[in-house]
Amino acid sequence: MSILEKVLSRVNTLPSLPEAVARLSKAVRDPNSTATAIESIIRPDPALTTNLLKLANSAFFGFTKEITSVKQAVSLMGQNRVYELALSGAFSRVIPPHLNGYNISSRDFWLHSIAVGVLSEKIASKITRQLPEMIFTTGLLHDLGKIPIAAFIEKEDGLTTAFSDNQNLPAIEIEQKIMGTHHAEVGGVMAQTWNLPRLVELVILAHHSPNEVNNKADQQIVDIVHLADALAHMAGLGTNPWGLHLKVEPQTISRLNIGFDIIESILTESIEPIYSMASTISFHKNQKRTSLNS
Amino acid sequence: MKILHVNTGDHLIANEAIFQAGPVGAGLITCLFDNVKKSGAICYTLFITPRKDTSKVGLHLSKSLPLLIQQMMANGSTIKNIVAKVCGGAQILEPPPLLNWAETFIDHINELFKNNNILSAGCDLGGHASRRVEFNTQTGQVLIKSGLSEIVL
Repeated sequence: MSILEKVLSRVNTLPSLPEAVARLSKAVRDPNSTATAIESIIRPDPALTTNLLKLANSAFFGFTKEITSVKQAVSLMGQNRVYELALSGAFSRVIPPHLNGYNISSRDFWLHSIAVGVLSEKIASKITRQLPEMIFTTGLLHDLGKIPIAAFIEKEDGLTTAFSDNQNLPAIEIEQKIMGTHHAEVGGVMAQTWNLPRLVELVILAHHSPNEVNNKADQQIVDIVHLADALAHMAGLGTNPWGLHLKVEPQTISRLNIGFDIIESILTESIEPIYSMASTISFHKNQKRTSLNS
Repeated sequence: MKILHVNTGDHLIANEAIFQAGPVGAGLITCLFDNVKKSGAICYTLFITPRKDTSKVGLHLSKSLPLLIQQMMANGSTIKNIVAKVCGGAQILEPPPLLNWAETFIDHINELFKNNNILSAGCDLGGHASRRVEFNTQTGQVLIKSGLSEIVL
């Protein structure tokens, strides 16, 4: 069995997405689907409902009145957004307490995932007239492949040490060197296993190699997530000790045609909503944010 | 001693506390310490000066620093007893020009400290690894963990 096959075999040992999320994915693609139908899929899963409502009430969405039901969430946010939040809540449940090899806790991995989701959406809002569908989710799930790799590393003698011995390289190069595959490739396979939308799978697969994407519309979304990932690491949002060991394609910056003023405003506007959204889900060490910010 | 966690954009002041900040990437942790009063303040900023006026002060050192000094003085400190220690400003590998803003931090920081009559007591800037920082407001010690290394300011 090759290392890639061994890593992928870990995918099957991870918790799968709740049945409700898979059904929801189909329902939101059905133009005749109603808020009542969406609610009937989600409501039987209490954990899913709770996480969805917590996320919907985070400062990122800025609703002044509390959202108390799935039906209300659908009517205020739309079916696609509710699907994205259900998927986010379900994703939070498959993150292990610690990601071996990457030296990152579940809390920081979640914070980084949320950060890339929020930043991707914020970048897109600055450079496009209409937000690309599922842009938040593509950012949120970009590092999905690290979860089965971490599970694999945990079971294989010497791999944690091999990872830490090569920490002067970008994570994707360490993975390739040691295992002959990397988290983008593994994440792409996992996205297929989870039956995620094609675009989410593509972004996961290409988020470190945006120049290799041929279709211009797809490439723009990959560029957005590629940049959002870098900004999240730079801003310390759930980065690991070696998180800055990544390369940003200069062509991404040219293609997005984005300037420093925009970068500054994206980060200034996003930090509070990111922490607010990330803190809705409790992990093993839920540290309260203390601030004197005015 | 209470432990206070410091996130990106926070600025805090305390008399008997250990501030824990990080991970810190390109951002800056600025620790202010009054050795007489035994109090401290900390901020976690990403930039020096805002390009546009913003109501949020947390991410820009030029806004956070005067505010923290003001709060320390309201807490009984005098300006001559306050010293600053600063760390952070790491870069991604081969950053494109748009993302290399941390390169110029050192010049701006010194100017900012001078303008606010604050003495610099140590700094640890740059590199490519993120940092975790612990600041003890009783001793003024700033412990920085970066990659496999550990230094004390």
